[in-house]
Amino acid sequence: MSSSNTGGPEEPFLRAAGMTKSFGSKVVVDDVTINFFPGKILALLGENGAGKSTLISMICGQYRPDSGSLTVHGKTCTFRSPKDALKAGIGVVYQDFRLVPPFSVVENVVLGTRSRPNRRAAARIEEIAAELGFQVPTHALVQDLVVGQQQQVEIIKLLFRGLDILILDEPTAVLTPQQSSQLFTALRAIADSGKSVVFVSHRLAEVVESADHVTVLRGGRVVADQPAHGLNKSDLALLMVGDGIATTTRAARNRPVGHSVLRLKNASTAGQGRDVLNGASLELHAGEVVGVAGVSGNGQRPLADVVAGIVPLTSGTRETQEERIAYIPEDRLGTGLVGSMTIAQNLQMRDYRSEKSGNPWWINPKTLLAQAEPLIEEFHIPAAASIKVSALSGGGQQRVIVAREVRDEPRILVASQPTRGLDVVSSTAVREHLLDIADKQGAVLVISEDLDELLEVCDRILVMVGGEVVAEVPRKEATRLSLGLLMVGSPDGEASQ
Amino acid sequence: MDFLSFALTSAIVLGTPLILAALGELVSERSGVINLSVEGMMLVGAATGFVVTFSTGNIALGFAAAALSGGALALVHAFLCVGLKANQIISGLTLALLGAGLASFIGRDFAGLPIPSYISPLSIPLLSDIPFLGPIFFERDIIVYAAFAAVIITAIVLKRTRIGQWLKASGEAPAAADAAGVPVFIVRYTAVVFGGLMAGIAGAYFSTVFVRLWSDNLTAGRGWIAIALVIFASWRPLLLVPGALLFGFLDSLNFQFQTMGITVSTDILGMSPFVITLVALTIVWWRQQRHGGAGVPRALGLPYERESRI
Repeated sequence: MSSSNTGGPEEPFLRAAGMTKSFGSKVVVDDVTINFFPGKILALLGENGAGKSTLISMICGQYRPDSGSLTVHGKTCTFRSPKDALKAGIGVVYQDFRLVPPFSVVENVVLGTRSRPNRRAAARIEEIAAELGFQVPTHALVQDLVVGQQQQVEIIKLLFRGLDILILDEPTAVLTPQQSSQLFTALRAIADSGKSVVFVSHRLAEVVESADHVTVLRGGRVVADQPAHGLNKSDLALLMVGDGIATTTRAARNRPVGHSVLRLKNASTAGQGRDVLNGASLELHAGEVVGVAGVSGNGQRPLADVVAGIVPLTSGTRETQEERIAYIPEDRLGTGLVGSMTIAQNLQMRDYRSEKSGNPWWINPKTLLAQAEPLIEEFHIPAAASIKVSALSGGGQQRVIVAREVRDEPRILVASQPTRGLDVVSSTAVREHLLDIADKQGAVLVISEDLDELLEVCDRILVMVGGEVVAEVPRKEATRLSLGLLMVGSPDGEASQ
Repeated sequence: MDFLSFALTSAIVLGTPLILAALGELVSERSGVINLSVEGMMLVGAATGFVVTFSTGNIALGFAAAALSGGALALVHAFLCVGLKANQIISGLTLALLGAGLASFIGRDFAGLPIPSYISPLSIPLLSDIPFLGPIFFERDIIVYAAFAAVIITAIVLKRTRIGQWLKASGEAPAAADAAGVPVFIVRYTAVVFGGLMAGIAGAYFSTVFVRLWSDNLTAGRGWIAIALVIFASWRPLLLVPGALLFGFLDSLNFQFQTMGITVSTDILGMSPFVITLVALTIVWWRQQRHGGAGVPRALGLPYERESRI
């Protein structure tokens, strides 16, 4: 595949050819060839399980490829560890970061280099930060920084080492829209200084806006490799998911909004730090989808727990007559499922005390499996009932949770980050189920960091800052920009854009 | 010699092997590997050290052999836990029992035999002239001085050197250390083996300097106390010293009450260090829970795997 970059130098910094990697019998990356050019931003686009992360891991020495060759600056390389890749000038900003929490910023940046965490290093860090418009306190401990700052430390770490190739894995997953645009401004500055920048994403909008070149992976193979200029979102979506699959949720319907089913007044929760409720109020009505937007850690998690009724309030009130409350929690394997148990057992988990499971003292494995079968079919769970949940992909696991929570048509459904980390097809399926509940006159509360998702499914959107609901916007009036500005606490931001 | 100075002296002498063993364990744990076989490594070191010293008449050789034998046992632990990613608790417990058996085997023909006192106290000029404290602290043998020096050196290495940063990073966030180019596996191997060397030396101090004979189960649980001391000290080297001295003092009461003719059940006295350990652990843990940041290395006990999928 010839690279069609325009005007830049033709010699790539890095060429990975014929990269292949299997886990067990599954080929995750299949004969992928990719080039990183100096001065360019390359977007690596693909659904979950398309092989993006595995490809990156091979390029940075984390995984060893089964076959394929890496050429860096014209020299063939074999990386046995991330250290080898660093020596060749390749660095990665991982999604979950690779920082030592109790170390200071300077200590983290110099770790593994020949520099010492002294004043000279701190000055160099401040210099790099200033060039990129970052604000990082060099002597603060990394564990005291917010996520956006930690990411900036990661980027500085790579530039401090003078690396040529920066790879960022899903860098915007944890950022607000404003932080994201700041990040892309910084990435552009880095590329303009002659380095090669690569970012992994499945957010179409940012790929179209920010990249010079796009490589799309599907099922471990390259399905497109072309300049970003002239591409639009639906082209990319089609490339990502292949032909013939609906990628957008059906248009919202006009549902009659019913009576109030749950009311939260000045609710506060116990706990330390920022992620608590601090006088939050909201009301849910039957047949309505309510969204909650906010920068992560502003009380969304306790809000979900409180509405679902699993965390007590320290002050304020929670009024509801409904008992059929379902909860799709944020932490899929932590609170949603038991990874070491089978799909059938996990599906049963809500019903172990009811007559539905037969004898309340005795679990009949056959009944369990038989009851799971129709759900597996209806909710397209991609494995047999006797398979352990931990063996499923994120999308498969989420389908199990959704199946369990949604099948009894709850009156109130709380869905926290319901499509985080899911591919387009799984996300669409999950959103369909949320809308179905509302159609059946249930109240749905969706907490999400994906503003496009909220704009797509919700009737109205609440914005949380500091444990409070600070604003409510009807869907028709909401835009990404207006929500983003409310999230960072500037309510009149739209005028000052 | 009055009671107080005698008590302080024996606290130092009995605290020394605890300091040595606990310091080794602390380094191992800061790298992320918990090693519960300290007792086993101490016993092997005690037996080997005694046998070699008895046979050759050279105590330096005895200490070297003790260090190597403790290190060898630790190497097995490192191979299992760092190399093969086995469960650190199970490996440690198994090696503790294996070490005790091995030590009995090594020392079988030497039980009860006496050796002369090879190491005599080294009086430090000027300092030993300080009234009261001088003779207590500065007329000790070279191993005592070495143990205290080792504590200070370790504290400095941890705080001020690149090796120290590598060690802490490997124990706090091995994936981050690896991504930054720190050789996590080598760091952990080295730290675990260092722990074994120190435990071996601690055992040899006990058998060749303190009691000067070998018998089965000679260290009588002091290896376990060394592990508790690390928690006691919140994984900070300097804080090992007060804890070790306290336990050394308690230990010495056992000997003193006997010589003073006070009749206290030796069984009860023998249990007292462990009772204190339980009480101390409760207090330390409770305090740490309330104030957060217990100082536990975050990756303690967790094997690090680079290709951690499937």
